[in-house]
Amino acid sequence: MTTSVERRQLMVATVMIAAMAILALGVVVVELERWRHPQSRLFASPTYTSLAEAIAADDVEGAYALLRAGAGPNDAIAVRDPALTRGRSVIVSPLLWAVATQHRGPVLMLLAHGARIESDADKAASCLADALGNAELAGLLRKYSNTLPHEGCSPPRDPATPLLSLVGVTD
Amino acid sequence: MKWTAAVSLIIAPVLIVLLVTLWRTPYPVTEAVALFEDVARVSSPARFWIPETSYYRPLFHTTLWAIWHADSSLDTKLALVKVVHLAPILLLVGAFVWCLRPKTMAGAAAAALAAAVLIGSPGLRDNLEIPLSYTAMAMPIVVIVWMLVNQPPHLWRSGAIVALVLIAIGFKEQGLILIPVVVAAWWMRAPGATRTTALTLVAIGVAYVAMRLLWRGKWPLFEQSLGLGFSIVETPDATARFGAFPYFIFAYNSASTIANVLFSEPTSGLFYTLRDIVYNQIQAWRIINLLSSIALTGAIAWWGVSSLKSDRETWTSDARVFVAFVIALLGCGALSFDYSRDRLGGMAVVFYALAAYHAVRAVADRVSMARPRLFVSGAMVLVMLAAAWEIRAIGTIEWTRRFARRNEIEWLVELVPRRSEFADRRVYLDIMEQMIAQGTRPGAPKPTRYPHWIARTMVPE
Repeated sequence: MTTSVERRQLMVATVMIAAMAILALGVVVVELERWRHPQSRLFASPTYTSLAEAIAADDVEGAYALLRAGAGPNDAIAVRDPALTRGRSVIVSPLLWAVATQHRGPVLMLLAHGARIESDADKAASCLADALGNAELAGLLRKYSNTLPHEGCSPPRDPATPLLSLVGVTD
Repeated sequence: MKWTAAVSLIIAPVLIVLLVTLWRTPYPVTEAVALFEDVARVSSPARFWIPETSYYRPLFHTTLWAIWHADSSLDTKLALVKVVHLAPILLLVGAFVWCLRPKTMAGAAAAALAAAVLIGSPGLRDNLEIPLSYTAMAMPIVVIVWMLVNQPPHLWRSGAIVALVLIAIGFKEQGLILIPVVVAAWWMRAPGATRTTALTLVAIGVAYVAMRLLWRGKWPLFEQSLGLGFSIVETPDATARFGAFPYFIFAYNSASTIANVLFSEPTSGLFYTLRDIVYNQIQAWRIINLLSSIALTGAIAWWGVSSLKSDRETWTSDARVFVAFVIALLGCGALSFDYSRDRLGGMAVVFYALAAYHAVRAVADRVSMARPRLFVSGAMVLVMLAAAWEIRAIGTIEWTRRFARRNEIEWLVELVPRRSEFADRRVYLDIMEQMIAQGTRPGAPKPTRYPHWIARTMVPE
């Protein structure tokens, strides 16, 4: 009887240890894979070919990775969107594109890491946020940058595509 | 020794990966910069010993102050602060396994499960946030003090117990929980808990509480937001709603912390799992956490109550662990009366894991004596319990990677608001600007992009 109980105890302990050991081994395998292939799909973040893509995806880390790799926070980028640009390719600043896509993270990242508000279009970024109905983003831009106050904004020529109006693209 | 080595081997991958992840985690902007500013601004740590603030962690601040004012580079200072956080975690798990030292394979299985409980509990996970090492420092002290009170009495051991309790209290007031634990150990005739040690600790406890109350300034009634049911109550609302009679909400907060240790629910007073069940949005990791905690707590309750049925003249080690666990649990609950957070259960988690070891052994013994059908189902439950807690321990790594990613994103998006908000705090801004490099350095840990069916077992999607 005692032998049978001991055998059972051993059996239960063996299977418990095996279950935990297999899972621990899984950790080892994953970490070895991470070390050998850090760019594998399992570990690497999505990569973007342009700042416009990363901003549109609201991927702050992806956008910053491009800045780190040499992209300029003030270099004009070509953007295209069915609604925001009516499918046209338009040249804008990264900040203006971040405002147009209404992504708070990329806006703050660009302001913190070198974006300058110098051109008239960039100064009207807060107006663009107003026109898009994003009061929070407009307030944030006015608070942390020298963008135009609400009174300084002129209404967009085409309220449906304020970005196109701002950069002077007309039908 | 071979079974202790076996347990160490099982737990080592999770522990090592966890520590490496923490080592590579950037400091957060929130909390970290303000803490470093606090210590950088003063030429002496004496200010941190005046107990006028509601949060009192003089040893933690003094340690930070000593590191910050040493003649070393910023990178060295930041590395040392991380060592202060990581070393106790390594010591905690090492001391815990050493404390158990299983002598059989059955013991090794229970010890490996208990170590996974320690790493996989929300009470530990929530204390891994760098550089908030207050409770992380106190947790290994719990294990060491418990080992000392269960060894033959010696003057140096008594001195070590008192010194360790003082260090734990100095890092966080949750260390006070050790005082009733040691007193109870003396009452239960634990060999190393002498009457002198117990009386000394009681005197320290009374003096400490008196000092805190005498120096007490005007503290707010509620220090942080509260979780109540399914919603968060911000402090002004809490004061308006509960200010006249706060005792109900105090009891709720305490019960929430206790329940979080026992059932992993609620979290910070909020019943997330229940809410998800109600809205039919339940996630696998919540189910694993809830069921594994319910099963283990059930086993501990059964084992604990059985252990108390023996002769009171000769307290068994099982009974001592159970009583110490209950006291630590109640202590954590009492000290979290103002608001509930997972991290506030940290001190009780150590005893929960110790109790888990004894309870699982007892259940395994009972299952092995059962009729064949009961044996098979009992064994399956034990194996599932072990796997569930190991998954939770691995999940702690993924949670830590999420913290790391969150911290990195903070360094990308929080700089502008902080430059504006803290424009009049030169020291704060200087430290923040100097720390940008560590916060945005490539290679910070990121959550593993597991297939959904694996990821769902560990973290929210």
